[in-house]
Amino acid sequence: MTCPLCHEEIDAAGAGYCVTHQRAFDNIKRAFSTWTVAYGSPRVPDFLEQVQKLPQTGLKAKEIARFLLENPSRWK
Amino acid sequence: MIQTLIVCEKPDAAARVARALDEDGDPRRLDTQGVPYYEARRRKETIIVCSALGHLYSIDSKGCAPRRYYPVWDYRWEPSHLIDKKSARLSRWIQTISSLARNADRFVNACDYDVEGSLIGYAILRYACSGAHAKAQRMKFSTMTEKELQTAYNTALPQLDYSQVEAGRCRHELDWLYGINLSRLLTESALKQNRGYSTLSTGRVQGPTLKFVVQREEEIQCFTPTPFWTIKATIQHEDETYSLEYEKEKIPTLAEATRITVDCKNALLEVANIQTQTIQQPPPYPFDLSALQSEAYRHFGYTPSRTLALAERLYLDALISYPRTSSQKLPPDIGYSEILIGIATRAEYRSLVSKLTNRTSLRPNQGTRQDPAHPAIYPTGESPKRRLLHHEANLLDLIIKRFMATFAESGLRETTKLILRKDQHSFFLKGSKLLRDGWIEFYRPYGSEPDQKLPDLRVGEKVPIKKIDAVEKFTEPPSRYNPSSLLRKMEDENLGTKATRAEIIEILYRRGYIKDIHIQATPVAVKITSILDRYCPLITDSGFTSQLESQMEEIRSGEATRREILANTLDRLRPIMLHLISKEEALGTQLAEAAAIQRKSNATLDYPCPSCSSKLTMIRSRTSGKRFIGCTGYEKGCRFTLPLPQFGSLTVTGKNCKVCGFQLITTRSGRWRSMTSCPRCYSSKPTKRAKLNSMNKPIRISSSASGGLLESTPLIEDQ
Repeated sequence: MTCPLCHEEIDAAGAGYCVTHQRAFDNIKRAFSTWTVAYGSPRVPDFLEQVQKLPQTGLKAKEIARFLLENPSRWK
Repeated sequence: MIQTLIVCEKPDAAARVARALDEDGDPRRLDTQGVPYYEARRRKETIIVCSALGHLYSIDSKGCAPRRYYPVWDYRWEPSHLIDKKSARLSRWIQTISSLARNADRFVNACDYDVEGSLIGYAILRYACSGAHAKAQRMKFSTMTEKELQTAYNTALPQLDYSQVEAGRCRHELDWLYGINLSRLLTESALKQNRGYSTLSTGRVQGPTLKFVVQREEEIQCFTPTPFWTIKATIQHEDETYSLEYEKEKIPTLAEATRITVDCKNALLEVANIQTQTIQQPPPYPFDLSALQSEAYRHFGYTPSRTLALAERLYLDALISYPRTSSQKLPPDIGYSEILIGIATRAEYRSLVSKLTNRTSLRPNQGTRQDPAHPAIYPTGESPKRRLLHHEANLLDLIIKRFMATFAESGLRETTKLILRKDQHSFFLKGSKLLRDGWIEFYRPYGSEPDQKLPDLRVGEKVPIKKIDAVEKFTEPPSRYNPSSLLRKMEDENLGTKATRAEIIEILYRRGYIKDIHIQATPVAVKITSILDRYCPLITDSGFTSQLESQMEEIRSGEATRREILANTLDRLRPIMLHLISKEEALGTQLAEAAAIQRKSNATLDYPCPSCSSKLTMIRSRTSGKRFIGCTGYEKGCRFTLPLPQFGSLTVTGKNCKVCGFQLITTRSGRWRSMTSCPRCYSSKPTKRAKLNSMNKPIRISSSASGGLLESTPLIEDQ
């Protein structure tokens, strides 16, 4: 199986992305729980839109955010 | 009459040694085939002082294996000019030294007293002087002053420092075995994919160092910021505005931040407490090489390799002691008073020196780190015999002031914290005042912090909040390494030596694995690191390399032998190589792809073509072989081009020209300093002429590749 973003092979069993994108995905999920505490309960699409716009967000994290916006079913 | 042959590391060092040892201080300069050497006379002795040019001998594979073959395990020491065409001129040096050695009765190694210097001298004495290493003596010195050189000559060690020689040989042999095998494997496996040639290298120290940068790059790339709030509040007292700190540096929720601002808006804050503390600031330690590199980067922006080169220049001019040291100690036998008296001959330091010499005793504040070969870096007290370049003068000033500061007393700083309260909310106002300069006076402008004034308020007094806001902020990704912090990281992880770390960082730049001053790992670096991590994690494991460094220290201290360490390491390296060779096809495919992407991205500019907005790229003309910037819209008829430097490697930077906004290009050529310039207006600085051009004159752009004037582009229009 390959990563839907960069088409690299997926090493770890159960992972949905390559190592780097999986790490970015995990970071986004973790960040969402902090955002939820900080702002109340933001909507996932709003959160992803906002994350994409921030200059601090890393390139891989932005790629994941864009991908999740286009494929909401991958937000598990 | 006895004839002695002294071998030095560099021509400048040979000249200085000869001058110090000649009775009249005026040795005869001789020359054979353009190789200089000196003849000094001393009582019943003629001293011939010759020099190397760094390493004259290097390692090469034994036998006739092609240069691209791997794995290779058999090697031998050979003259460098037989291995590397660029070192051709070294053959004349070896010939000259060999002919001088034929008439010599006595041999002395006077190369720098460290692992590299000992090895350079040993190889020359052994191979160029027909085995003279067995009877050679060793001069040990830390400065190039006449007095110290004469003492070192008169008290020369009866034999070479073999422990350092063996440690040096082991380091070179291990580095060669790792470097040659792994680099050939990476390069060749990528080349076999027929997607173009790229030199891909890794090594014992290079691999783990690159991994630090790649790991940091991944942290940054995968970073997702989270929000927090800070409270920005000010008070006004006697026409001055003061910024307050809220008790909590970061407020985690919007609701809490809003509540604080609502609670404290227009509130009267009461001074609840005033805490005053006097802090003693001990003098700094004397400079070891890394501290000097770090401080030079902080104050002047010099990269570690540049600082080392400047320090070596100052050492060869006998202005400072040997810079490649890890010691933080200044032993009394260097002569503190004499050095200070020497420094006082320069007017700008006279008054500071007199403050030190008036004290009853001179005792430096020393650190814990030691170096068996050299003390910490210190000025010799000699005055420059030539006009120093600006950068050299800066570094010397830093070293002199640091040296003086280590003898001074502690500084005393009073810090005051005003605690202001409104109900359950606390705000702080912090100030500081220097009570006693101490060492700071000697180290100015490098170690001074400005005083921070506080309002004259007493406990119980009330003061209104002028303004209060909750500022929304987001967490920042970890900062990138810069050359100085990467060097510190290498030092903390015990990777490489004080002499090699800066060079390793330079190699990473040259190979295109890292770029920019705030270091970014390139895609090919990420790919190489991930491949090595997957197939042979030991190569990028800093712990393994650090262990090897410790083992080499053991050779230096006589606790281990070169043969033992080499045998152990080869036992580990052989299976790694065999495993990698079995995966060559898979490695090659991935590496070739990454290298091709890198080549393309390195040559593509972000700045769009001013004529047609297509991408601009660096092109080499097939007919003339010259490089230029051309437009990818060529096939659509765009003929926009710009000239490029024809020598050195070119890197497209992420910065833009302040004059015309075009993307800047960095040129690196050999050992020259890199030059960043704008290919459009060819100014590294906005000159008057360039400004004028950018304001009202069109620039005529010619293409050497097309051989004609192609177009005139008004700069104003596409800004």
